[in-house]
Amino acid sequence: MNRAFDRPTRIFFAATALFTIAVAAGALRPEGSALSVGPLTVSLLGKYMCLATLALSVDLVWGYMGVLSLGHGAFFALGGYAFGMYLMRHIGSRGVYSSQLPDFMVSIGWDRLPWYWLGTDVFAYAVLLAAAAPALLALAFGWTAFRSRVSGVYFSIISQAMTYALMLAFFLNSLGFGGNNGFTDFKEILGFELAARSTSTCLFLASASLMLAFYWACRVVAASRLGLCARAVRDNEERARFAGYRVERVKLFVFVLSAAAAGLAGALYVPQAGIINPNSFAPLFSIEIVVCVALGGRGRLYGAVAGAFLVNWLKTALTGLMPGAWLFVFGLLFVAVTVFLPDGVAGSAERLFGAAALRLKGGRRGAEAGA
Amino acid sequence: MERKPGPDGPPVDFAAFPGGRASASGPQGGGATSGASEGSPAGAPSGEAGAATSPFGDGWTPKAQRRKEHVLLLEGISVSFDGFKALDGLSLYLKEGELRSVIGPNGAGKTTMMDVITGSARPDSGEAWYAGTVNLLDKDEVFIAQAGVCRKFQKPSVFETLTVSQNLELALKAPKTVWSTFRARLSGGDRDFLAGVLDLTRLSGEAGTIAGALSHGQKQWLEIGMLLSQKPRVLLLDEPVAGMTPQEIERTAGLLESLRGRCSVILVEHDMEFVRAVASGVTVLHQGRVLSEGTMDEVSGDPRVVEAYLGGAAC
Ligand SMILES: Nc1ncnc2c1ncn2[C@@H]1O[C@H](COP(=O)(O)OP(=O)(O)OP(=O)(O)O)[C@@H](O)[C@H]1O
Ligand SMILES: [Mg+2]
Repeated sequence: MNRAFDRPTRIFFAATALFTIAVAAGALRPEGSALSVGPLTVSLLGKYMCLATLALSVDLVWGYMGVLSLGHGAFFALGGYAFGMYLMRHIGSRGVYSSQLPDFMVSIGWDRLPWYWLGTDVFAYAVLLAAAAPALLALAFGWTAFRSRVSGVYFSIISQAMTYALMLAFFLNSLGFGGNNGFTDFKEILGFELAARSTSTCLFLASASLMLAFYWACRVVAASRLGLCARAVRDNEERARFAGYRVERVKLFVFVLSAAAAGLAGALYVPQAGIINPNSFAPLFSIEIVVCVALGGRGRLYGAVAGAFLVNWLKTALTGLMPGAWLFVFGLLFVAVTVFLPDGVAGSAERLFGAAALRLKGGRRGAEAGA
Repeated sequence: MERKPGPDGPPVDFAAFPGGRASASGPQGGGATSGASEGSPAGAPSGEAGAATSPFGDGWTPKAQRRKEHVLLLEGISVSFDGFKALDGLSLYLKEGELRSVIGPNGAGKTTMMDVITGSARPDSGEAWYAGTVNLLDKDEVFIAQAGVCRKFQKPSVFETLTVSQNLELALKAPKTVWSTFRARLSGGDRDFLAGVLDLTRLSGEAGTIAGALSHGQKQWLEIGMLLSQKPRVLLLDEPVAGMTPQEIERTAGLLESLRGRCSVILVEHDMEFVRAVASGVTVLHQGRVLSEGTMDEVSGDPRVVEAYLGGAAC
């Protein structure tokens, strides 16, 4: 696995680990003391870690394989809903109606859980579902699209349509997922109070671990011949096919892997956000993630993570200062990235460093030749 | 495939190409076995193929015999695009180890013929057989490529953002399912083999170069190198010397020369000098049919050929 764990990856892992430990240590210190990190900040950073995982999953299919999905938010949201079911079940009778059923079911007059809610009170099953449901959706969607050789902008458009259709479906009360209110008012996870500071710290740590684990998985895939094949598909799909690869299957595998990771990220996001509703299926959310990847620099995993932190930090800051301004700023950002930073921040940085390194090397070689 | 070129043998043992088929992966999917991996072309025709087309069902008819004797056989192939006949009853026979040049004015149907052979175009009528037993018309591109029919496109197509050696590694004949591709590692034998291919295509010095940065001629060679990595039994080259300098053309002729007898080649070219240089049987296509066949001198003396080329040039 040496090829997977190359130098940029080692640097990224070291930096992320340091950052994570610093935040967790800060969260353990009494509030108000030096270097302490408040629970809100911890949750915020935990959410950013989840969004970074989602950005990684987009980068894997878009950056490496050239398949631009404008509906990846759907996988994230689906994972979030799957785990949200677990959280809802563990509200128990502490809800408004003091029923074992989730409040929204009582209010629409249901007297028992629909079949697809069965078993969702089991943590392991809920986690499995959070990965499996998006993976199955990706399998069905990808199989249909890739097999009929839908690609390029057409794929992007239908992926967007998919998430939009799901959003409309999840708005329906009769679907059994809480309609437009979605899930909220969670109380506990694995028996721990969600309001407790230690719980939010643990969730943050889990989010950071998930991000790093998926990052590593992406590196392993990218460094394998399959990763080469994915890049080959991006460069020239026809050639890849004539080299003997079943391009549809390669695409499907990577797409499903990416969707499962996005689902797990969504699952971890929901307890930290405290809510999930159909708006997480909104096309805009998926586009935001794509912009994160573009801004960070696609095809470079650390770029996706950096982009996710940058864009979401900007979003948080702006929403605090000037609610409503975000959409405009986001639009500007979108245009600016496309026009000025086609390779993203990471790409520009690499070019800068690369040019400097080349000049250094060239200078040295020149000196040797002169000597 | 465990076959290491000995230190005293040639760097790349191309004679092993056809043999390589048997031990390497069969084409994946569907559990179908490639006819190409079933014994030598001289072996008895497989029951499946013989029974399917022989009216006598005894596996021996002139047609079955023809199929057995040629590594590639096209008979009566017609392809039409919205009523326009790009191929019109084309027949072409290629023997094992033969190098055949196919020439013809623009729009003669040369590329379309390759599309038919490689499974990317479906003819309205006709038959296409590979290695005597593989019915090319009901196989797809990937199966055909894995079975050893490898194609160079008219427009040079390599993986532009990958290095030269990565391009070759990807093309390398190996099991190509998702899982085996994920697990694949270059063995020592693979490395030696790829080094041989690099050598043959004069790209040894460019192994680490990004393919997009190569010159036009080098890209063409790289694409040929990728085909060689696939250990082909039949090589289809669509205008391999287009855009090359005279020196590069000469080297390419040398490259083709070194392949002679090791795999069968169909060479589509407009460059008559080059076709003459590689000295092979020539088939002239015109308006989707075979106009003339013979040596270069024979066909260029054929008044119908002269007429076709002049007519083509006039419009
Ligand atoms: N997909 C297609 N749809 C419609 N017409 C096509 C298609 N492909 C090829 N043709 C037509 O079929 C004819 C044969 O084309 P083909 O590309 O096989 O010619 P060619 O001999 O390779 O020519 P060139 O020397 O220019 O490469 C041409 O008239 C072309 O316009
Ligand atoms: Mg052509």
